[in-house]
Amino acid sequence: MGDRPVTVDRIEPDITILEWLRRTEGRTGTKEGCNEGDCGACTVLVGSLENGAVRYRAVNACIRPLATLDGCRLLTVEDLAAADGSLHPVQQAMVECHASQCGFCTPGFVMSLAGWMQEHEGPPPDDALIDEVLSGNLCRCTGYAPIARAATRAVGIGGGRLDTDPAPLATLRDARTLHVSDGTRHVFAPADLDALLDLLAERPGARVIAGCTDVGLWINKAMRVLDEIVWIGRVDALRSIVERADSLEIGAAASWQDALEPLAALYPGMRRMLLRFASRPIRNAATVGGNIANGSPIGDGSPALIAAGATLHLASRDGRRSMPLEDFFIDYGKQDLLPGEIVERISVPKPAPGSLYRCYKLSKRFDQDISAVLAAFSLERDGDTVTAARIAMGGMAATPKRAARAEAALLGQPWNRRTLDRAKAALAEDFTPIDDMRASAAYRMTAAGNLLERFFIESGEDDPDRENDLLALASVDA
Amino acid sequence: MDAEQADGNGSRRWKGRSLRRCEDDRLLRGEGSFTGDAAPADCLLAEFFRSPLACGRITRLDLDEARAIPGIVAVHDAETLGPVGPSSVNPLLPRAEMMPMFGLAHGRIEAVGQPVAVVIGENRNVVLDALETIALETDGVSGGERQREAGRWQSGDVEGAFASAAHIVETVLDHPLVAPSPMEPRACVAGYDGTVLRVRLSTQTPFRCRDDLAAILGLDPSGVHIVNTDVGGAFGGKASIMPEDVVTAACALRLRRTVRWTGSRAEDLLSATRGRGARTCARMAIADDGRILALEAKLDFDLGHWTPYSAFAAPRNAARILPGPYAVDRIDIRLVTHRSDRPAVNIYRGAGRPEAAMLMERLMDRAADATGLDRLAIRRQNLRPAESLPGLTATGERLDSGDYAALLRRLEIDAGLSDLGKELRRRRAVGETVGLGIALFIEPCGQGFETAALTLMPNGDIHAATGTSAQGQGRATATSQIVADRLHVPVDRIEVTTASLDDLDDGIGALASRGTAIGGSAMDEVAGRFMLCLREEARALGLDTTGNGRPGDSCAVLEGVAHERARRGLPPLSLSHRYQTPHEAWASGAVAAIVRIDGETGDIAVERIDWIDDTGEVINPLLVEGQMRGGLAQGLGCVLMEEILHDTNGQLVTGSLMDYALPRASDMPYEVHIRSKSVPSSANPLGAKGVGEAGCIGIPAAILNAIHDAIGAVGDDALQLPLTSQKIWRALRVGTGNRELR
Ligand SMILES: Cc1cc2nc3c(=O)[nH]c(=O)nc-3n(C[C@H](O)[C@H](O)[C@H](O)COP(=O)(O)OP(=O)(O)OC[C@H]3O[C@@H](n4cnc5c(N)ncnc54)[C@H](O)[C@@H]3O)c2cc1C
Ligand code: FES
Ligand code: FES
Repeated sequence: MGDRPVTVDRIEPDITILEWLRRTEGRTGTKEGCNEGDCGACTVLVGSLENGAVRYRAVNACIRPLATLDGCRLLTVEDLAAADGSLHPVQQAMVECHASQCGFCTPGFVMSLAGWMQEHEGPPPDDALIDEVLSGNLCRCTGYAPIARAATRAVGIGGGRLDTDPAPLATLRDARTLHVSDGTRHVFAPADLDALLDLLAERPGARVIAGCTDVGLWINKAMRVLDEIVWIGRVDALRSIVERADSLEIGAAASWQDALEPLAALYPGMRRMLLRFASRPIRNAATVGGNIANGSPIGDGSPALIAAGATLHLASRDGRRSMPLEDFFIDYGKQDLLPGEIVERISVPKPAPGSLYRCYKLSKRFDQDISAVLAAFSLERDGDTVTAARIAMGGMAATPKRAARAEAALLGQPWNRRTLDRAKAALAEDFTPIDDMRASAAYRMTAAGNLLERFFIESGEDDPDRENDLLALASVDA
Repeated sequence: MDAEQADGNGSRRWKGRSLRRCEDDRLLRGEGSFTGDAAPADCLLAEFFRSPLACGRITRLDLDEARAIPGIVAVHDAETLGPVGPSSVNPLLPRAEMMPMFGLAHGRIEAVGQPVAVVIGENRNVVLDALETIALETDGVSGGERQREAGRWQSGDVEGAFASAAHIVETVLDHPLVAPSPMEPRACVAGYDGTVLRVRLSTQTPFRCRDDLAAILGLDPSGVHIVNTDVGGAFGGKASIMPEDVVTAACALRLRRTVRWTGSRAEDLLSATRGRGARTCARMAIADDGRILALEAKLDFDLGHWTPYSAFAAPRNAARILPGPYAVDRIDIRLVTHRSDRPAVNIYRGAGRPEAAMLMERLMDRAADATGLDRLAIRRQNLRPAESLPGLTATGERLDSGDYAALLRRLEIDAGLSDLGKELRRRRAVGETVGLGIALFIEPCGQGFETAALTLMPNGDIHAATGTSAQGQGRATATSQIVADRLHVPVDRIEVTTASLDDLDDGIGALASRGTAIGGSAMDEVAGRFMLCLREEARALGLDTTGNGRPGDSCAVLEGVAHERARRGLPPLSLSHRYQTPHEAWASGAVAAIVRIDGETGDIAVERIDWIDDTGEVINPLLVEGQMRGGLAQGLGCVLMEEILHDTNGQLVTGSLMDYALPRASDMPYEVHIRSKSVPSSANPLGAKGVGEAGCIGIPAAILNAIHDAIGAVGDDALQLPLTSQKIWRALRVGTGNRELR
């Protein structure tokens, strides 16, 4: 923590960083504004060893278990000022721009901005980037404009690099499985894959956690008590993202923020959804594997990846299995995951030349909102004839699901309005949408059809300018 | 920091400068001390069992199992908690039904989320375990909807005016309930040592909370000590004493221990006070030439199931400030308050003013449409002339100062309204759905008193204590500027304590945009008097009063007096003051908003806001702009996204920040131009007016008008708040003859 090593051995396994900071350590600069990842008042920086240097990520301390800090460097707002007491450029800029009023949200904004500045190079940020960096922080006092100005100003002031010396963290590295407990409940964090699989084989009832952005809410909101937790974030192999000749191999514990650029490079049609997936601090923690394993029918990742033709790789002590991602989802809350088994990696094939891919997130708000419908499409054509089609949706069934009938309606047919209308009609056979406060079933059904139509319209024009126009107009997802 | 400015005497002037805030350094380092940050080692934890049901007589409440859990120190319902007196209610509307609060539910459940029992334990886990064991049943019978005519403002022959009117325009506007949502949820830490009840409270009104707590718990006010603390935003959501505060304090009293309750966001959304929640209907009689002949309005306000101290302020404001900046002699305004099985409604930033401004400004646009007059012209024609101020309104209010026509003129010129209009016409011609909305508003800034005290510290520094409280306004900075000018010392020689319960016997706090106008005036007056005292004292002590440094710098005098008094063993010189404002100050403003609507999806983008504000004499432009921008964001939230929703069983649907939409950075307008055109107030010595609520008043009205302008004649009914893209989309499709409908 800051510059000093902290040893914690007897703790409640699910105590969050926030609770520990505030209640055990009496370090109260980090605030609680919601306790569920929505407001960012609790934002802290977690530095971890990556490729020989310390990399910092802004994360929400309110839903993140303390145990996930093993071997990491935790920085809170109290740590940012220099040794001589002078303010970090972000803090200085916030003073100059009158970016703090009541000061309650302020530490969170400071940490979000400091984390971003650490990696920012080049010219001052534009509005869109600032909005994205601030997407996880709420302020009720300032109206944000002064904070946005402070972001630009901080870049102007410059400096403020956080310590990236790997040595202190390197000395904390070891191969032993971390085990902390309060006597009755336990948290484990194995250091490599074999140890992880062995541990899970012995304790098949243990709850795996990765970014803990889903499980964190079970603990804080649903008040679920977890007796055994296994954190997989120490296993480097699970965090890697590797580009192969014909695929992108994403480790299950890679964060969405890390996967964003590689995925968007292959599938530009996925970028906008990825930028709208939760908020930046949530994306910094939330993992691709966790999103899939959670199996939520309203998760964004699975339909997007199913449409891209992803393959899921599972591993347990007994061996490995692979399957098309869509086959993993059996029913609501039920996935094809055996006791002791984990999601190891996701292979995302590179798109076939000339193929089309689009992914639309439909939600009430632009940032930090759960989708009503997530619709992803990919299409290959030979001349005018559809040779391959993958349609996957979220919010439209008890699981993320492929639209087999609609796909069949497209296959071998000319890509025209008539075919589109048949495929739209077939969606009604593919799906029985969820009906809830986010959207009625009827709305979801209509929207799903319309999104297919939008895909058609966007695909009909090869002129990229026109496409951009449509994307800009596409406030259907705003 | 701005270059130094000198006044005629060569002394430096601090007022009017954009000084950086003295509060910031601490807050940016994470050294703010908010209520929940205080956790004495042996502190007990309180959590509330809240009703999961909406209403009914309690037929079963089982607490025994909870009491038996090891680590649980106490579990109380209303019966076992001991005597709790009624909370006080400001009788602003003598005819409205007062519904005080008595802590925990008494035999009846009146709303979802109502605290029914309190559980006190050693740690969070046991307390949560205990909460889970509590069971509640009711007979499900509603407490009933009751309504009262709470007030009526009448003047002139309204009926006659309508009978003879060339045009009659009308509108209905529903204001959903919204959540004030300060980023710091409510919290209370109370401790009792056998003589003094010490309470740390996240509140806007510490003095009143002290008096309220004393009265409710049957203590002498001198036995209640409210500890000064940082407050993480309030906006009316922390204006009045709440059941959780009372119960936490009562438990501390009984147990003679420190008890902490830190409310969660979920609890704030569920059971903190809400704002707005009104249906406003009005019609206006217009002469052929566009003159307003008469205004008739009916305002229905939901109060929920109990009335916090300031519950009547918003409904009363909405009625009394109609018809805004316009000259209307004949009025008939009926105000009706309603009791419902819902959490309490209280003031929220704007408090009735937004409701009035939106109603009036919708009517003005409709009047323009009916008469065929230009929207600016019809406003200009009906504005009260500056010469008529100070003067009375038809509702009996005394407007102190303002030049509304000048505001509108400035808006026209600075925003380039005619060019903007041309540009919009061009954009419409190429198929864009864009609109321009105008709104004018007035903002009353509070009545009553505030206190202030100054002390000359032994080192010659000044300690300034103000009765107003601070939740982010930069009160300490502004106060130091006021004092510095009077005492002729630099601001860094002045230390300010806000809501200073140690130095002052009484005070009000931060409400109703009154902080600077009334609190600042109290400080200004006491500082003027203190300067005289200091000079006199210097003479009496035989010191040189000319000062040995720069002219107009009194540091040497202050230091001389301080040292000499200390040397002679005299206590620090000190002076306190209670300032009663003779009149209410009225701020005003004019706003233009430009919106763009996506015709296919109904998505709204606020492209530009131009805003001219008369905030009277400005102490610190930086702070004023901060208040305006913050208010603007909240105004935008109200008009575009915020709404508390319950399902048919009374259950809260918008129970988290995932489901209750607060504006985020990406929701802000692309361009905001704020300018001020100040007419000093004649109501107070500083000439100051309020600014805290302005953004919530003028901005929503202008945006609402802009949206109507963009999408054409769909009728006011179709466009009720919040104007989500869904509603706009529907309106675009339902209305016929919309010029933009493709
Ligand atoms: C504020 C907020 C906003 C959000 N917004 C979005 C959004 O826009 N779109 C969206 O899709 N989701 C959203 N989420 C949900 C969540 O962030 C994602 O689902 C995330 O990807 C989950 O990953 P995680 O690593 O945090 O999972 P965890 O919470 O760690 O785990 C989730 C589940 O997966 C299991 N699990 C995790 N990793 C593995 C593995 N390798 N093998 C087997 N099982 C595993 C866990 O046991 C658990 O059941 C949001 C959450 C929050 C709090
Ligand atoms: S406290 Fe709100 S995001 Fe953590
Ligand atoms: S400064 Fe108060 S919430 Fe941001």
